[in-house]
Amino acid sequence: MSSDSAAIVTDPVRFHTISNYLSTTAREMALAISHSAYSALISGTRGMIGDCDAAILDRDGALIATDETSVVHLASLPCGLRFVLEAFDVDTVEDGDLFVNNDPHRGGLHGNDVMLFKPVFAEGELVLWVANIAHITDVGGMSPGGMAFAATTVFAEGLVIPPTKLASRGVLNEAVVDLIAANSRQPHETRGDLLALMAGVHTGEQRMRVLIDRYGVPTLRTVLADLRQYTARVARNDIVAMVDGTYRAECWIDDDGVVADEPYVVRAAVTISGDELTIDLTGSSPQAVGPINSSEAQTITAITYAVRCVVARAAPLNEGLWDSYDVVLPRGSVVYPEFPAACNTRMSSTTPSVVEAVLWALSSAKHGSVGIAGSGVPDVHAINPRDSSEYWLHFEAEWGGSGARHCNDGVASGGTPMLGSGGGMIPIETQELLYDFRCERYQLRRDSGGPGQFRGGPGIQKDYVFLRPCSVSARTDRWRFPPAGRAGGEAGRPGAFVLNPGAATEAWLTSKFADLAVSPGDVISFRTMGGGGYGPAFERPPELVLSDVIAGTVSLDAARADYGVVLTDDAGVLSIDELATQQERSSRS
Amino acid sequence: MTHAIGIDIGGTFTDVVLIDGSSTPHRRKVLTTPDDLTRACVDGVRGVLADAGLHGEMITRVVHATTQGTNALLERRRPGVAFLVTEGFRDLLAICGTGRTDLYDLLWRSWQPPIDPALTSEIPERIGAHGELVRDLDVPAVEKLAETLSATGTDAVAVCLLHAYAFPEHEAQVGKILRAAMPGAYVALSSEVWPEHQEYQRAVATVLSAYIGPVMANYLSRLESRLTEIGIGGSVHVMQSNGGAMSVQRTIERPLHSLESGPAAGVLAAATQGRRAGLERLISFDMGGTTAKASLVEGGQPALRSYFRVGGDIAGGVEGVDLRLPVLDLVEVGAGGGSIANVDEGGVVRVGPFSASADPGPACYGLGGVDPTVTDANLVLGYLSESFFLGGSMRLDREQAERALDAIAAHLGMSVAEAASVIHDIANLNMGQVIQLVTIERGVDPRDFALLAFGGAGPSHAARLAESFDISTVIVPPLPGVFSSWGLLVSDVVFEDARSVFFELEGLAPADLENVFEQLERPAKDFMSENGFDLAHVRIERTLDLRRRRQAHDLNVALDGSIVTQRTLADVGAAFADQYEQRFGVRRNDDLVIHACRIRATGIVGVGTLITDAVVAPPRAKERRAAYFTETGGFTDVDVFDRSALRVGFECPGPVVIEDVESTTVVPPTWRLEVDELSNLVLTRDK
Repeated sequence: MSSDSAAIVTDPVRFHTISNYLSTTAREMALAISHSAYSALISGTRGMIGDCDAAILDRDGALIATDETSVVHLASLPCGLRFVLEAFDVDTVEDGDLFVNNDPHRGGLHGNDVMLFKPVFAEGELVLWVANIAHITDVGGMSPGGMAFAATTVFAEGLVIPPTKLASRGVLNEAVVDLIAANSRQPHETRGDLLALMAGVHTGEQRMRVLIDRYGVPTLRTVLADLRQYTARVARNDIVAMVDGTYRAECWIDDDGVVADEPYVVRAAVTISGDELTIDLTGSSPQAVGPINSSEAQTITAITYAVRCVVARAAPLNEGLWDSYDVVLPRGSVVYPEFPAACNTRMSSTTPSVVEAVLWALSSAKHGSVGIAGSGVPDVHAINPRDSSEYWLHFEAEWGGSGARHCNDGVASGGTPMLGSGGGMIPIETQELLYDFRCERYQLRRDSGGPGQFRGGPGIQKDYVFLRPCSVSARTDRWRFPPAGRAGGEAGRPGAFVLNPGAATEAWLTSKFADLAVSPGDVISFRTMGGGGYGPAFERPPELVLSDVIAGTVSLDAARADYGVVLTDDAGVLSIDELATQQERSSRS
Repeated sequence: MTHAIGIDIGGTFTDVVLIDGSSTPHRRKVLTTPDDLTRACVDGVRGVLADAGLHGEMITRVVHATTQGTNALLERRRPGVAFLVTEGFRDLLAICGTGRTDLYDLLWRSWQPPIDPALTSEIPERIGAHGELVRDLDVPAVEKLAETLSATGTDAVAVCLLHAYAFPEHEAQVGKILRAAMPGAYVALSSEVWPEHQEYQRAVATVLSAYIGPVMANYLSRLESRLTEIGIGGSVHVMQSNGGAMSVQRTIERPLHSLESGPAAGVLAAATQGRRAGLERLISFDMGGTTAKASLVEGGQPALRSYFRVGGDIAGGVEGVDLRLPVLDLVEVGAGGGSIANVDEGGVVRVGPFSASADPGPACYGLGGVDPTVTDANLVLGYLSESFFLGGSMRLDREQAERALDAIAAHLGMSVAEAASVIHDIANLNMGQVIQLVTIERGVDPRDFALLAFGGAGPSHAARLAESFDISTVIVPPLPGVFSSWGLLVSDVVFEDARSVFFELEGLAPADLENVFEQLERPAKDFMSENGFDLAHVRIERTLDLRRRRQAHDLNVALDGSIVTQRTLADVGAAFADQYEQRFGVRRNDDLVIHACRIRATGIVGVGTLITDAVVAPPRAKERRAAYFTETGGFTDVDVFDRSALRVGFECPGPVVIEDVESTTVVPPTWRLEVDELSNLVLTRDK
């Protein structure tokens, strides 16, 4: 209990009741979208909610509560609402109005992430907003599924929807829906997903009306203020516990997919002074020509995620967390680009780099009590047929290995901290039923995890053979600058995209390519990178190296070369040659 | 006359209950014997037989709930199983396949499958999604592999080949070769244990079946023979996670289906008792010392869900894994009488997550506990008796409870009693989460339901909990302490099966669907006949999992039991549209795809009523005690009744307290109490 933790909360029972109610409502909104959405990306698989989120905000746009099942959108709804309120005077907003926005330069993330905002009124007064966001598979643009990897402006990425009134006093503006659908390669699904978003805000509005009826606006406002102060207080307690000073970290990006061989960097300076925390990304590269730019809302989301991993982790997420620290973003940079920069590939490049740099700087402020090495970024690919009037789009992410932590190995194919939930999103058996390609191989890449006392998580290899003419796009990063090792650990092995491996037509593709034409019989091998290692590899106990070799994660040769562990093979039974290992390690250290 | 015994193994106690259909159940509670769980079972059975003055051969049925399988998955003491998979996919289970529960936990670890990497092999073969042969099965290679595995002495093998859910030919061949080469080993084939599509889920189910299969086989056959030794002649059934009972043999063949057997019994008891009281819509609420559980009963039937998570340890940062098997939809939260109240770092009073458990226990036990718990608050509030706790076998110390609550009262600037009331209310909020999850999150309005409360602490909190959801009826069944075990004895024998298919509804020939159902039902009917059921008394239900083309979520739609016709298919489309609209508020007409056919065959078993001894004397309060209610502005004197002294038809307004041996029912002001024909305490609230 800290010194300033006097009972500022007016009524603890009401505090918990309303706090639970708010988080449940945000969750219900996300469930309503997820259950009624058309795209598998939104509805999710394996019992998880997919690529959507919901939030409740106050009249001025401050965050009251949010659903955190998919944390990649954390800050988008507050940022998006800020621009809605810039475009529309709040005093002119009426009951039954509904607003839509997807503009990455006005609070959005990228064109496919569409946001809806609905005001909640009580006795003629706008009390608060309910809002949600979901990834709609196609909103037009130069490449299917928003995979416009060659885009150099936002115009090439798909339809830009500025803050727009989608419904007025309860009457839907069908023309806007028609316009959005007409710009999509999947108009039917896009309409379905927009309906799902409407179901989400509808659920939120109903629930919030019940809450307002039960407590009245004045009481509700008191408790909301309590909640905001509570989270800020918990956050400041955690900040005070960190060591004063400025901590710097950086994370490199291969290229923007348009200008070859020109790398980018995200630089983070974290300053702790008493109970104050500032995160400054000044020094990060100027904005890119290609679409790796992370919009303002996207960068704030990444910083929020990193902060919440170590600050106020258990407190409800609301504006109070943002009250507790400051952010400085350089305008015109890759982390805060100006119109009309393209933004669609940021999730494989810039955004995870922000997470990684900020987390590493924060972990220094915690004196290494939480440390994580560099992690593999997602490899996102989209496949669609070239020879048919029937349109389908297979869209999927595979994950690189997670970085090793200061106390355990990285997770195999576990992805970056913010993004990875691991594994392919769509079962191979489902894919093969629906689409005309077959998966020939799905396995961990041996020796891909960065060597270390704690080993980086291995990446994966997934090979598809195509059964009809298709068009393939894919993007990733961390090939030139593979996931970094930390505290003496080594980097993970970079990924690769290989066309027809082992055949005469073998070709090694770039890390960001779009609309590659493939024919029946062609194979593409998607290989994700391994995570970085933590701590010196020679300090890894030989027994763990042995079990890695048995499991196939590490080869016999790498055991010796990377870990200095000599194994002997006696008729298929492996064992450690203790003496040779000792000699190997001491002669090379 | 039917004499049946229920055996429910819990972490601390093994409950054994004997029902003869005409008098109060006989019951023994014996300490669980972790080194050999059958020992406590047999001791308990001997005990209830002696209490009832019966011989073993007079027992017609034994129904068992066990944690044996769950323990094996949690402890992970057995060596990993051998895992055989289609070539190219050896790492299928190692590639992190489960979502993360806590996205901010940087130290998370993915679920580790219990397989031995040295015994993991790829099988040269491949069948395509539509049954096309891509690559022949290399039979000599499999024979060689079987020989190698046999030499290692491993006792369990899991086989999962791609698309075997629909095209099991290769898997069947591999199984045959393995079973011939390894006669003592447990061989689990994915097409047998979980014939549904999604390779990761099926591989998980197969590997876990192989992992716990030998344990269950060993344990259940030992239990059967030990029961035979003491003369029990009737059939032995094992409770399944879906609320049905099953034979020992099939439990061994499909061991994952009984993982959640214990919790299922309580829900089944609630559904049965509710049905008898004419209540078809209930929330079953079970609260003990450390956890509270809730589940939904609709149309008199417990709600089911299609997956549950096993083998995880969230506190330890280890993810579990989802099993896609039917299970009673039960939600649990770590909140109970032992939950400790504290002031968190942000200055807010919380209850939990830590619990004083049994040792040292709440402060009022006087066993050295100093932290304030929910039980301490309830004692201070006058809800619990100082002298009649556990029927008087234990005294509670009110002064210790008050002392423990002092710090929180000071923090809140309140009296100790007011602080106790806050703690009681916050505990209710915590428990409210489970009710929230099984109702509102499932799209159900809790106000349409009655709350049926049992377990040691449930009846003290039920009415207040009901108020927060605007629920106006609370039922406390007789003998809330044995209620869960009684649930074992009301179970029917249930045989479920499913087959994944891929049929477009449009243009589907009814005969094709009928054919799948007939194939599913044949073994179910054979099973029922072999187990002594007259098929005329076996109920068979057919359902379909459907979704819109390329949509990701299924809805389950029931068919009428008769032969599939064109009309049936039209009805299915309409039923889907209705359900979809009801759930998502949108009505759309799209192409539908059938993803799975499911059957559930139920063999009805005669059940015993939960009877308590009849009371004729007019009730008299045993004492008056000061109890705290906000409505009365603080403490007020209320009547305290002994439950065993209340006769059917008794009625009175709250506030009043009813004491049972193992639990106390609090009837707050604004509530009325009535004892119904089944001896349930029925609490109703005027709206």
